Amino acid sequence: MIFHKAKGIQIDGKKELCKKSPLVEYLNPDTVYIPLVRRSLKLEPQVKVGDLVKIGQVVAKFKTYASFITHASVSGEVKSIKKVWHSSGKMVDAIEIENDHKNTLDESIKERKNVNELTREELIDIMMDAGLTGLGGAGFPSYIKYQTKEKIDTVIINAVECEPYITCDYQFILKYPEKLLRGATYMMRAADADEVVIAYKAYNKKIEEELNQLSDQYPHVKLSPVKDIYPAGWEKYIVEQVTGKSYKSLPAEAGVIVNNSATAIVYADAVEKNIPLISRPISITGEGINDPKTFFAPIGTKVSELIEQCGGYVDGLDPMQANYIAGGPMTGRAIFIDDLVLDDTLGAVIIKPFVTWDYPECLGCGRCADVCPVYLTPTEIKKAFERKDVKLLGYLDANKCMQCGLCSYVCPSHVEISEAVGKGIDLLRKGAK
Amino acid sequence: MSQEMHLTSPNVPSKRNLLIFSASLLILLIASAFLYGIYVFAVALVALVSGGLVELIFAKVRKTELDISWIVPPLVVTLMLPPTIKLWVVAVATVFGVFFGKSVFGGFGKNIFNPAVVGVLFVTISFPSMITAAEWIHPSIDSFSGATPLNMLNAGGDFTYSFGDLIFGNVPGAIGETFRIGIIILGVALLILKVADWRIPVFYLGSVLVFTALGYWILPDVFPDPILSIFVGGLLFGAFFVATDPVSSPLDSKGRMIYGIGLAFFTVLIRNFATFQEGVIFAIIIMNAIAPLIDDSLNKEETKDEVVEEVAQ
Repeated sequence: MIFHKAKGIQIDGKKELCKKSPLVEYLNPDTVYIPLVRRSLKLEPQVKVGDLVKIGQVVAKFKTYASFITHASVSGEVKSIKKVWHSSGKMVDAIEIENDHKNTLDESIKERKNVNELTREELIDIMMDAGLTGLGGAGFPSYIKYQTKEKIDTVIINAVECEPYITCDYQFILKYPEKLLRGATYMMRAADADEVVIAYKAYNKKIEEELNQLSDQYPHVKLSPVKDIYPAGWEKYIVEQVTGKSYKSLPAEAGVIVNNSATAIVYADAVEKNIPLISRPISITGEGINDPKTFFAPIGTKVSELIEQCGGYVDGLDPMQANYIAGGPMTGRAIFIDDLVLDDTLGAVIIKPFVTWDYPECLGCGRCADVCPVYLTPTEIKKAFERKDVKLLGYLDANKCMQCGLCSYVCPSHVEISEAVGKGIDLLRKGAK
Repeated sequence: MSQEMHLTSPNVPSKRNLLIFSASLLILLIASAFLYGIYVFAVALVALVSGGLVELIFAKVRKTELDISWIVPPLVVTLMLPPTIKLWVVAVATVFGVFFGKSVFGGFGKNIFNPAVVGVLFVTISFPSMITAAEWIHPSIDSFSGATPLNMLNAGGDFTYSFGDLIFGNVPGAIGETFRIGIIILGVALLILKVADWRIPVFYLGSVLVFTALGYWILPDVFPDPILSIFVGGLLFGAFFVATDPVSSPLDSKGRMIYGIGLAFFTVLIRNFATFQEGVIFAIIIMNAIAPLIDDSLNKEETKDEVVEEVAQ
């Protein structure tokens, strides 16, 4: 079509802030708070107050889905179960574990000998037992992707990281390039696929260099640079770029499984050493702090502790009046407090000075409709949501929205469209049931 | 977002756009004062005061704040009226336009029709003798009593105005429509600054050219010269400054192309077949009414699929 709308736009990356210093390992916080929630499902604690736990011990699980298990990320004593701030913007129950700094490992964590003989089922079971979820931000249990009945040809490792500010995948890969390739190989075997494609942004030449050095040992791994546009890291976009195929709801329809690069690195540890998902990379960045850094930290670490490690807030910025974004600036949530704990979906916390503006009404300029990668009319959806018109929301295909946040980004009136569309989708799903 | 804390408070782009747009309207007003005398400032003042009063009362009743956007409709009304217009007609046009075109719908951003066009249309139909058969002023001829370029072109006789006069505004016409070189330069600047969407003026003017050229080719007695027909009347002003109003035009980019073509269709139709000489304001009102329909029909084209139920829910 001649007048086809442009898919995505280039936006200011601001990644240099966090790229200056390499990945910092911050593995021994004094206290961790393991959130008892995964993908808005409440988990049942498996430990009591006063118990001594070891690293890797199962501390909570969900009744029906076996993969929703959480492990202790430090060893020590369970102090209490109390409410903490979570990246979802709500307060959730969490298990408080006081670190005894002895780093006792659970008996299950040991070197696996027969790595090369594992079958597909065993590899998927490892994924399940490790409580591995997508570390890109959605927190989708990885093993469900691999239990598909479809024939999988390609496993795509998503290292695109198209959101501004975040560099956690980038630095995690530079730290463990070999682990990434090993993890990707295990994923390929778990999916019975023939090849692995690693998608990354074309300007990240360092990733290309690092991975090319190792390419002799991993001939089945292909590299696929993508353009510097947002949302290039979107699953549908990557699948289309790499394979040329499109799909409706799950990539498996196109014979593809997409996993985040950090997930692959954690999976390599899970296969080789049986270490479950207990730590993840996180970028602490933004203009509001002195020395932005990316950390590799245990799940349950307080973000305020990591901010201190970054040299604290810039002069003149009151922590209570800073703006916190949990996740990327385009899709993340605004949080009002730095007293937040690290969970499996949190890839970044961005601290910015507080900025407010009063905006005029929606002008109806249609710029949001121009940039929408799934061809919706976001402002109409917002209006339909404000009227609580479920029928109209369905008619406008609100559920197709992938919440990239571009509509809010381009809006000349700074209307918070994306947020309203998100609420509209919730309303539609409730109404549809 | 109405937090109390203000570290920095930058201007949002849409406010900047409004200021640029209002400034360009003011430039056109000042240019017209050189052509038609300082009486145009009296017209503008009456329009601004009456329009501002309506908005102020509306804001007080609704307990909202007076938005900067109140300045635009009175200025557009001023620029679309003849330079000899009686001041009370200006007040009627502005009050009617702002009240029935904007305030009753709930204010800025919620109106269906362009408020300025509503006002001008109301006085055009109510007092045709003062608008369409007004006493026109020729910038360089005293006590002028001839036809405007638009009337002359539509009448089908000899066209005596030179192209240079048309471009530089040395012709009779409405206050803001004759300084065409200024309209084109400012209009293109608005498109480049992305204050207005390029699709509407481009498709509007392009389609007028195409439709008139087709008509001129088939029925040379009925249709005027296609190039000249773009440079007469309020077409250029309407295309760059009135039709581009984002509130009353379609949201979808494809929809805006259709909108431009529709505007051209009705303009050409009314100019050449109806009793009224100028079709621009009628075309804009008609297409304003159709704009939501265009959006809806484009939304319908998209294929529908089922709500994707997530596995974990």
